[in-house]
Amino acid sequence: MSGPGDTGLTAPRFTRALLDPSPSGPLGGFTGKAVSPEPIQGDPTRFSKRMEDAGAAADQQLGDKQAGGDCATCPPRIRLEHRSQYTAKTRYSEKEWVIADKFIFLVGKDVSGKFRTLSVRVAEPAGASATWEVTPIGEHSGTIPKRTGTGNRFDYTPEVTNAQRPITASRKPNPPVQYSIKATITHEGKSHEITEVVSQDERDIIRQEYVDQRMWRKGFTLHVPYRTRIKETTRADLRGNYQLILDSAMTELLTATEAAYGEKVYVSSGWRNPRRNLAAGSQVPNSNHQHGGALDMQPVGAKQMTGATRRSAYLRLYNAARTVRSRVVLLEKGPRAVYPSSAAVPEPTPEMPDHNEDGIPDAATSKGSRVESLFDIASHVHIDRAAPDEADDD
Amino acid sequence: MLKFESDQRREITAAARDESERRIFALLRQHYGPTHVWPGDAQALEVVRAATFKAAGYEMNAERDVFKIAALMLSFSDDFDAREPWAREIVAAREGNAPIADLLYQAGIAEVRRHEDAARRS
Repeated sequence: MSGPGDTGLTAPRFTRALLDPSPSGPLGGFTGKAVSPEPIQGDPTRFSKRMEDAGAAADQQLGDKQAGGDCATCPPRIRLEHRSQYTAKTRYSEKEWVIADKFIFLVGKDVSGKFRTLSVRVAEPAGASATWEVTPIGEHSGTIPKRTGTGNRFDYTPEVTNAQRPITASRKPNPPVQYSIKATITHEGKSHEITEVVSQDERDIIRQEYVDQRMWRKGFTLHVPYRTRIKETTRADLRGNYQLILDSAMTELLTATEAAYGEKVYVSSGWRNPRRNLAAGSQVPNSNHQHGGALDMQPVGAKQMTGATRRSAYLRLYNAARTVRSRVVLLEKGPRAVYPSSAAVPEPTPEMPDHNEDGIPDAATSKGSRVESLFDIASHVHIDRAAPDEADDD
Repeated sequence: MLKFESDQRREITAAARDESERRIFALLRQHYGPTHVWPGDAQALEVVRAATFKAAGYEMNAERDVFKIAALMLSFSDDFDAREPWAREIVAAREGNAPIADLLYQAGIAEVRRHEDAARRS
């Protein structure tokens, strides 16, 4: 092929023999032409007429739309790739350098006290150099002291402050940290500009909360949760401020409790992301709710129950929870335990009868209070496990 | 300077290419599929891709132009623009980057018709 569009691709090269429509007769005056004047499968339409019709159809149906694909006049294919310390972990990412849609990252100080660095490079055209400009999107994405540079690769280190990233009580999800990355690439004498936005997914938005708390909340020592601990759920009552939940032990505790209880329970509080935990009124910096290791449970329909029926339902739930492997089971009113941790409730005996048949001896007391009255005022049964022993920053 | 958002670029380079090829191929198959020049779907798709390159070499990126180049490649040969005298004349007479796909196509039709007429007379 000698035209300017010669690409070396293998389009079929037609020969007279290949296209001879009428093996029984000659093609007349054809000299190497690849078309036949003969009727095609009995259709008397001339080939030239078919060509005319086809051309008209192309004008009408295809028109001036630009044909896709690589071409001399098309811009070069440009592909950026991104890297963080998390894409470098094989448990999270098949490749260390990934496209924007698969980029996972956190910002802020890591366990060494240094701000995390993110990277971007030109993957295609291979080896191309770019002029870079990275711009945080939204105040919550912080600032980047050195946000411009040149080269095939650019490393940037966002810095965030507590003022930019509040850690106070909230029942709304945090927005994703986002950066707009502009790369200006010179290729074959022409300059091309591409802009990509990298954005945290919900797993990293959740993880970022823990980074924030570790940086600025006194006494907060929970580790940044593993991405694999953040899961989907169909149970809305397990959720914090997000659609996904962090679940270090919660589902296991719930399943085991329900099995022992013999029916479903209502979860009044499951996983609480740190800001949700504050909104729930908890003053415990490392509440086990925050790593998905705690549940506050109620008998289904408890709000409509009264008297012995209510006490009986709570007692059954409390006892069911006590059979489950856990750190502690608490009968609580709000955030306050009203009965000794994980302690058994005495069973009725002839000496300590249960006349109202709630399962609790009428005369039983705990720290000077009648046990029945403690079950009367209880708002939920709490069960939890300690935080898993995992790395501080994965 | 050409400016593209990454999504736009991906659209051009992947989805758009597939969409475009699919449209051109479908129309080409509709009109040339029942004829003797049709080499089979797989090879015809390669012709569409090669036609896209060839048309781009002439700075013609409209789908209708690619379609006509592909049709001529099917009907004559993949290097018809260098092999056929009538095509060479058009290429040589081209001014600047004027689109010539339709000129080539009409000339191709005329050439076919000439041979059809000659065959009838013989």
